[in-house]
Amino acid sequence: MSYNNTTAASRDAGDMATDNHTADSGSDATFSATFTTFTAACSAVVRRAAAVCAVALLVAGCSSDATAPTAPSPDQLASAAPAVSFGIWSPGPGECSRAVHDRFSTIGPDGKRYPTWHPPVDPLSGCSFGHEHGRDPRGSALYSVVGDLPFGYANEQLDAANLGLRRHEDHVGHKVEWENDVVMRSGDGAGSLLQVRCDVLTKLHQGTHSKDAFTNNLHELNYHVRCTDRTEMHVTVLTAIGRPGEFERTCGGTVQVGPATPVNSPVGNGKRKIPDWSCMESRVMVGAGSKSDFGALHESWQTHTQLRTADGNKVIASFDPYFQVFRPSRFFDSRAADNVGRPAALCTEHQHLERHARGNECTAVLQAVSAMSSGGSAFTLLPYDDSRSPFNGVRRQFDVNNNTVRNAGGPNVWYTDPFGRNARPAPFPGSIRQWLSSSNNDYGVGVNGGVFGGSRNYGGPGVRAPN
Amino acid sequence: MREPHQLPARTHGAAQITAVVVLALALLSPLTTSSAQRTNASGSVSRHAGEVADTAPARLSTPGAVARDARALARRVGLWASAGGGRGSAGLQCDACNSATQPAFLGHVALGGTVHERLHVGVELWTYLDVIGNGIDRTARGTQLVARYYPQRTRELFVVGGVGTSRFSIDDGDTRFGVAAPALSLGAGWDIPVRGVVLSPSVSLVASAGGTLSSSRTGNAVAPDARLGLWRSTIAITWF
Repeated sequence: MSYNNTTAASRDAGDMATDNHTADSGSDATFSATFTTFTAACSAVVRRAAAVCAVALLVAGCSSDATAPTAPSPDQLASAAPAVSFGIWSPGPGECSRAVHDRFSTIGPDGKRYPTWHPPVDPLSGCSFGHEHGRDPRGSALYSVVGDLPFGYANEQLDAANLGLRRHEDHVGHKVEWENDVVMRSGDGAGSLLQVRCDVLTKLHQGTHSKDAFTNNLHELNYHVRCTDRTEMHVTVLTAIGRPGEFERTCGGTVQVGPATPVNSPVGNGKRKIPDWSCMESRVMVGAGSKSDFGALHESWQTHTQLRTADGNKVIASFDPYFQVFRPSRFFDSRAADNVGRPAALCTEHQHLERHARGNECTAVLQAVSAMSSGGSAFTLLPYDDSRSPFNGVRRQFDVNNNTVRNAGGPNVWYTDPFGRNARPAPFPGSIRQWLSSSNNDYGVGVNGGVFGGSRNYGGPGVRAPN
Repeated sequence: MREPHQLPARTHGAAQITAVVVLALALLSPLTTSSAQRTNASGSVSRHAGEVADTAPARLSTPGAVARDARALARRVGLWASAGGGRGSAGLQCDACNSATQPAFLGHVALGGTVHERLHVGVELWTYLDVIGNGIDRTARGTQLVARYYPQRTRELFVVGGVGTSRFSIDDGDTRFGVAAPALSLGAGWDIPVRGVVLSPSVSLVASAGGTLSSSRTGNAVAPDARLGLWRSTIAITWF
């Protein structure tokens, strides 16, 4: 994968001048317009000089080695060797065939064929895939730079890195999020002068339907950000989220689950906050006249990723996006097989008890059970993977936090191992090519973004757990 | 999610207006006292009927005064000095800046000489100070060579331009963001003669470009080509 080094510098200054500024008064707006015209004229000479310099640099061979990605042809896809992550999805009854699904693929930097984003419903045949991958990345301002995201590339590189562990993830857990023109916050002090805006495109493997994340802290993360202060990163890693073998309970406390998987998984910062039975018991199982607090059925994966150099272990980049899932199809329940409890079951299994799950979500579940039973058979339980269950994890949000680059004067292209370590300018077995701006955006004030996606619903016809 | 931050509420608007008025009165006060008022031996103040007509601004437009002061203006030669104050509205624009403009107090002093009766040149220092509150100050200051040109020899209208440098910063006591850059200015004003001195209301725009906004705390650059704009609306007193 190659990344165009087109930066925010190419944005037209006039566009920035017309941004919304709530503090402007009417007269200030008039002044601002006058000022813009005047300064534009005054800086014309400087701009022309800069343009001449830029042309001179290009002629001198100083242009970036990066190029915009091009979509692979069908022939290229057909002839590419499949990555481990390719072709592992199997359809359920009535869903699109595997062949239809596998059309949505791309070529990774290693020349292998990887699955990539697709809509929940095939636009050609109208069949459902039964799962979704989040927001269509083609709407991202960074898509023209990044191209299709190869799902599972970091996992594949781990196999080649000879680090003594393997980690492959399922297909449905790959979730794309992006937001354009994110206004970053930089405090109320001197930082109030700043108004950094960023385009962010990210993909995290965030499986919330199985036992995997109870013990696995390694999850593939693609993180692409480009900001108006020239900060830019294009990073792919297996990020270690918290400690392996355990997770943080949504309602507080740590749950020790068992041995790390893989056993030698590195420890990371951040945390995976996952609800467990105690959360359900205290917040969801309620008496008559009350409604369950399904807000407790919420996962927050708080990542903290760093790229560190091989020489000196210096941090050259870090970022801390949080990924949250509402109403996933699982919670941790040590009493259950594989430790996986199903929220849908809370609506039906405990009806005979005074305290059980109540509320709109359970109404939907009970209506589905009733509809099933009207066919003559007596159903008392809605399968967790039924598309009528509201517990499918299609609502998510992500927080943009602390995009830090410490690479002033450094090269744009670095190669790291799949965990973001041992960064060096030259590739090595199992390394992943990362792209960083040659800048340092430590200004002495925090520059943080907002929270996005909470109002979006990525579901569609037939979308169900596992998702 | 928090709303995008907003600057703390202004705490200085009325105070700054008052400061400008007081400054103007303070500058005018010696003139009116020396030219229009006489202190008698007992310490009381008396006025001469003929002088009163030349002092108050409302009376400057009397035909005799205008004719006399117009002649005086036409003879402007030698050194001159000027001081003034008023309102300024400054904004910084860059790819990573919150370019909201903020009005605040502005003062300036200048010293120079006459190249020609219709062309004055000098050096000017100006300062814009916006006390936001909570220990946060926005300041802009500049030094420039100025030239004031009177298109018509006996008329009071002038245009003024300058070239120099400007500095802009915002400081909260912990972190400061600042930029320095070459600056140009352009404006116009009107001379109101008052017995040997001149009151000059004027408006002008100062603009700078090409500076790099950086953090003093870390020394890291935030954005190149930060552009400062400053709208000045001032009244000055000039001694020839």
